[in-house]
Amino acid sequence: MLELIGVTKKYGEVAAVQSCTLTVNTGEFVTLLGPSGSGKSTLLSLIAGFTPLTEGTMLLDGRDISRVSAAERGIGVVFQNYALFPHMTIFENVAYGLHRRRWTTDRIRQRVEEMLELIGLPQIAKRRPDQLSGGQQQRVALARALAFQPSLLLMDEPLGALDREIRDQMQQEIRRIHREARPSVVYVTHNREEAFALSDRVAILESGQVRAYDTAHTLYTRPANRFVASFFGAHQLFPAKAKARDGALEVSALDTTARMTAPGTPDGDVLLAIGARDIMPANGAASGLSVPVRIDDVVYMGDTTRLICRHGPSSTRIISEVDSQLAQGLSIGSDTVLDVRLERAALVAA
Amino acid sequence: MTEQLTKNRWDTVGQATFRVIQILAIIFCIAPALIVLLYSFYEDVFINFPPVRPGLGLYENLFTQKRWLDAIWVSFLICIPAALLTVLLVVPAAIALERAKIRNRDALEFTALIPMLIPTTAYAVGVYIIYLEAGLVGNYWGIIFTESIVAAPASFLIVRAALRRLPHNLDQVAMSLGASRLKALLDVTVRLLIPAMAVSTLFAFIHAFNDATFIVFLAGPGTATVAKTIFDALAYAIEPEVAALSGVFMLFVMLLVVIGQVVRRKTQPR
Repeated sequence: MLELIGVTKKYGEVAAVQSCTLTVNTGEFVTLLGPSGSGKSTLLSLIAGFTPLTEGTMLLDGRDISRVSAAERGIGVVFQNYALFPHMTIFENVAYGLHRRRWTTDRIRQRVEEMLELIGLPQIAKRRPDQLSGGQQQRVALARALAFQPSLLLMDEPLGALDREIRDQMQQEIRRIHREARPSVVYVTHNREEAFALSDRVAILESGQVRAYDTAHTLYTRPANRFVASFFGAHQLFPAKAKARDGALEVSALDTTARMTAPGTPDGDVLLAIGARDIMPANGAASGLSVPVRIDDVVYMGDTTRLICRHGPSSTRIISEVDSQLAQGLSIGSDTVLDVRLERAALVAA
Repeated sequence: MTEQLTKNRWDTVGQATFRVIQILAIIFCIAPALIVLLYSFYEDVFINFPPVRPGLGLYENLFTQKRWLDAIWVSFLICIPAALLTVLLVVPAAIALERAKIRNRDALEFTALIPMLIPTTAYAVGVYIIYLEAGLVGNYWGIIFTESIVAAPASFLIVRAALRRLPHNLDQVAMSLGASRLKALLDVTVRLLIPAMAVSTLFAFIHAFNDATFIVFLAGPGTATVAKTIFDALAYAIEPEVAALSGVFMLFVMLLVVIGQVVRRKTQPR
């Protein structure tokens, strides 16, 4: 278990990481997600011990590691550029951490074979890193980081340098290896899909601070704030007024009013957050807000079609993404009514 | 169509002109070297053009007269330690400047390049004045030290270039696997810098070996290198052996340059 308590890193007056507190349970897969410059890589570097921290405490399995050297923390690290030692064979790379721990030759050989088996590359021990593909190199880096059985594995955008196809494959690999080796994982990425696919919990970082920390599902369906709604949910945000009435909420947005049930959501001036897939042309009775719009553009995307619309005198932009069959007959410049499905929407503080 | 043809004709003229300039430039660059080589294979006492008495007499003199042999010997005695000293200075400096968080990094880096940037003669006068005060003129170690400083910028640039090609998180990975900072540095960065350090040593040696300016100011009896000897041999009298000595000198340095390039190409990542 990893516990970060008020972890802060300042460069001069600027805080790259600001009083960050979060807990990673044993065996849990946690993703640090944030735009570039949000401090996620700095936080990872603080946990690894490559960067000294300014304030705060870090506990790994109950042991205070805040002032312990990187070598003595016993944390596995995987980087985006694989960082395999180019002058060593794959065997020597994977064995490096075991040699540092003075394992016997027999044990090392056995463990390296085991690790190469785990990553599905048992025959490459004698090769050099430059003879492997990017995906293979990253798997070796993973084997090297896990060989000495660390309780915590850190990964800094490990799939960032790979092609899309290999990236999807590697995601599956990482999930499988995590299931089999069961380390706690802290995984840094700026890619939402990776965060969705891999994590037990996601910490959303912005300007060096943790803005939200929860399961991907909760963050997506019940975003805690405006940043989480737009950055993680990729939701559209519309100014709205919410009023409690008869055990439900009356929500006014986009010049119409409808009722919704949203437990524990704020009152008064709020923002209505909703994904493009939850706004669709109304067929007869609308279940949420009925918003008249003009269609500015129709973008065919394969399975779905995206309708770029404009509403009202202030020309509010509304994007709706619908199954391509439903979009047939909708043409650029025509008028229609959109159904904003409030039961799928969330309210966040303005 | 006509326009196309005219354009082509101008292109041809341009290309021809360029070709001629190219050839002239090459001739201009290597002619002096060729002339020295040519003269080394003649036995004329005075420098005639064209030379008249072909023969290997100059080389015979060169390799039998103690004065010339001493010069070659002294050159090695000075330049090998100077080259080694240079690399000892340059490698830690390059690693520190590239990897550590240092204030005024640019200023420091500039300092390392100064010996290359300011006029050599002026710099040599400065060293001469300091050495005169310190009683180091003609001193073997004093000369080695100066030669290594003079060779430092080129060596520094070679090591720094190699260092910049290494991902700096290799050391971090080694540390995360349990290596101390020093162990990680030695196992990874320094180990991967070995080819660059070899090339860097070679170039430092060539630099020191080629130097005529500093050595003219600083050398005394017993510290006259090949360059200094050639210089003296022409300053007071014209000794024809100079041509042979220059020939050997030149071929040797060219050989080193070729070796350096081969090592560089072989060890650079594809």
